[in-house]
Amino acid sequence: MEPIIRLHQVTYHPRTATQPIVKSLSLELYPAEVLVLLGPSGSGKTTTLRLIAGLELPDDGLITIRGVPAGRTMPPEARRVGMVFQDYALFPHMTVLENVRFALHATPKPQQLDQAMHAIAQVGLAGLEQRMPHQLSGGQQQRVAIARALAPQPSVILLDEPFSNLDTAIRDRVRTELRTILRAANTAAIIVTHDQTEALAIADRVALLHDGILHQIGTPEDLFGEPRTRFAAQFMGSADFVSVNAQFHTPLGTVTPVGTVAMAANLSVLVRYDDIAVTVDTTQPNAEVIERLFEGPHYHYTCRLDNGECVHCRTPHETKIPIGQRIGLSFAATHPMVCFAAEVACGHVTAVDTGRRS
Amino acid sequence: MRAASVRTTPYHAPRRAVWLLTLLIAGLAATPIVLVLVRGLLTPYTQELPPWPFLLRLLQNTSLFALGTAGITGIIGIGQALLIEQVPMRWRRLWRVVAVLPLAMPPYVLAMTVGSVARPRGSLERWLVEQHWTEWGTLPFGMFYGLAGSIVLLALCLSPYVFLPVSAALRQTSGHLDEQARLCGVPWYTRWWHVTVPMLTPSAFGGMVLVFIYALGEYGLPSLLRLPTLSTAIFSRYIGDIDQSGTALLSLPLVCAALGLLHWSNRLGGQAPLHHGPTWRPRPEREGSRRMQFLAHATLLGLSVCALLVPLGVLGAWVLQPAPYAAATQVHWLVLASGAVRTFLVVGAVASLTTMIALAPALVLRTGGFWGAVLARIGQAGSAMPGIVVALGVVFVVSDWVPWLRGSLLPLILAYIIRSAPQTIQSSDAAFMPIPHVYREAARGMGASSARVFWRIMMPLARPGVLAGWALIALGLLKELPATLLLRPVGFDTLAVHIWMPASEGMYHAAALPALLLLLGAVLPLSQILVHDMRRDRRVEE
Repeated sequence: MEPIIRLHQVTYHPRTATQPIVKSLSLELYPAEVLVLLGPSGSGKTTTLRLIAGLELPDDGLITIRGVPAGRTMPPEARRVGMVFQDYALFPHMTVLENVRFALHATPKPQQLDQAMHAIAQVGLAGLEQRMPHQLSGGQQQRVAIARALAPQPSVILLDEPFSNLDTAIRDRVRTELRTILRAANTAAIIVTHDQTEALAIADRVALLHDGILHQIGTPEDLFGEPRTRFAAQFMGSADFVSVNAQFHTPLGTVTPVGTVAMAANLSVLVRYDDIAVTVDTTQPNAEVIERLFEGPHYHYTCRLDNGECVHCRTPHETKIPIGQRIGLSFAATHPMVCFAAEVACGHVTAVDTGRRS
Repeated sequence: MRAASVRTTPYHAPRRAVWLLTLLIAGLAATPIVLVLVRGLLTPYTQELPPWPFLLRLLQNTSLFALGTAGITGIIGIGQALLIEQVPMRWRRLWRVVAVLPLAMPPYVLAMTVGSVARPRGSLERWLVEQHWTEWGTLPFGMFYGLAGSIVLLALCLSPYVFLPVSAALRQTSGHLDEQARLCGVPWYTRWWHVTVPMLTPSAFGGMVLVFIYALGEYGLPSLLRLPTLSTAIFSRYIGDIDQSGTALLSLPLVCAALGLLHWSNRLGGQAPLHHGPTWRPRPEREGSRRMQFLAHATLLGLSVCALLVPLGVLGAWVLQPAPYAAATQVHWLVLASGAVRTFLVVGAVASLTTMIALAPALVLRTGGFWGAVLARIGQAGSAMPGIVVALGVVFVVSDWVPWLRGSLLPLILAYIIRSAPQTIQSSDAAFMPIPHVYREAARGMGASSARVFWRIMMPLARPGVLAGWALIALGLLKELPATLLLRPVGFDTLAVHIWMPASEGMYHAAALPALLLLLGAVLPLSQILVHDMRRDRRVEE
């Protein structure tokens, strides 16, 4: 399949910045795909989006849109990509309908109205065509911006932090709606976000950026289950690292390598709270509870292992362990776990002894 | 009236003293104008008044002068703002400062200095003739006198009135709007017409209305440039007219024009664009093409040469090379120095006093409900009146009701207050408005009295804006001429009078030193305005 957008070794280094904001970035976007650019603030996500839109020009590398090289000769107005800015950028002096029609500049006059009304109906705002932007709620404003981006039926739209200005209460709903709208319109999208749960929920593929470098690109499951760098593991959430010695002993029990593991002095294994079993009444405790959070269905604990490392674990809500109590922690995971040497993944290990779940 | 719809809770309701001060200002502002209106309407048209054809010409001159000045100022101010804010270029901050500097330049100083260069047989024509490039009188230097010259010169002086609000509006508009329009695929002219222009129209319009009213009442510049307008006619009648009824009749059209304009602009200017969400600006490192940058720099430089460098240069030359008649006309330096001290003291005191008492209407405007808004608007009526009308109104008040005040300083101070109160109300209101209600509610919740809330919460937050308002009116009063000439006690010569007296008789050299002193005195308030503007700017960019 031909990618709609292709970035090849793109670098962006403005004069005032001490180092490049985007460093030789390569990625592809395929038709009807939702690609999420994920990363902490300042990682170059928004800049990447602006490079694709043509609002900035790369210092090096090549951006291809629908097979055509998009450089200085293809200004933003010729790229035919929809864009939804973080502040929505609705024209404050135009009604909803006028805002959407403004994007249909290239459409013949007679069809403009129909197409605009269709786009407005598509995002569920039928009946609000004559409202001014300031008369709409944040969620409605965002949908107008999406309708405006989708109205000319572009093959791709770009969304910059589309959910950041919305209340958490409606964010989940809007996210699902956006997926439905994009699927119905058969439009590919690149969405910028710094929220990894959002990325996991909405993306077909996630591209993880840090300091302008692409750390990993893949399905959400890949990124969460098989992080290739320590940063990726940490950023995808709830990651703890437990050190592994030369005999493959860890504070949580012994592990065996799966396939080859490149041995290193500071080897550690990635554990998430669901990989850890908790034993409350044990003769051989190996950790101390130092913090407890009640999260409704379960308790979430921070525990300090005897070697000083901290890990997180959970118990069901009927088991409440007091802070300061010593408990036993062991591996619960039966699946291979990722090992890291310094910053980079170097293989997998599985636990020898599991199932001491209390 | 949007102000009236603001939620009023017991926490915010103004106190009685605040209401009284508001009433005082509203009364001060309304009385002279009503008196001018009444006397103008009651004056019969008699033989002693100028003949009809002459009156019609005055009307025509005045309206063309005011309209033309508003238009040209709009072009200059909007053009400067667009060049400075939208062309990506270096020295942007410097140009922002330079574009505001003409605020300090009195129009009559600009007229006499640029005049010495550009008038017929001025230094420019003499130089051209000496180079044998032209003969005396072949080039149209005569256009300098009359309508064309007056309009252009006043517009150069008043361009900050349009530049400041338009540039602020451009800076506060999210840069994403323009980019969004580009991504919609529309050509640049559609983008410009449908996105940029609507964004800056309300602010530009507001500025141009101010300029229009300023031009209606401007006296010094048209009389130096030999353009008879209603204002100059009012003056010459005032000198020779004992009962002053003729002057009231002449100022009737000015009052009507200003009132009509105020009514009209309230309806039109109310549709300010509503901005919401964070403001985003393009990265400063992006630069436009070299040609575009060069054109922008050249235009801005040309404007500042005309409005600033030429006047300063000419003033400097006059001071350094005294005219042959200098010995006869030169005012003793002690007289001049005392005039300068007197000017700065009075202007500083009146500006401070006005700023203090105008805090009351500024508070009442948004928290006093319907009547608060009405009273505060009446207090602003002085801004809609040409300066000469206000001065005349105060003359009538004094001569009709308190004749024993004639000859004292009080009438002049009253006129100054009425002239500058609207500006202060406006800038204080703009300083108070962004302070969230919750701050006051939180402070009251902690048991603070309303006075304590005002002095400890509101004032510290509003101080930069209030100080900028002070600076703006101080600048206005420094160069104030018509009210000073009409109302000053004998011997009370401000710097403006020291400039005007010799200048009106063509002895420009004698006016140079006081003019330089005046510009020097304007540095302090001007820097206040610039600091405020830059602080706001930094906030937007952060």
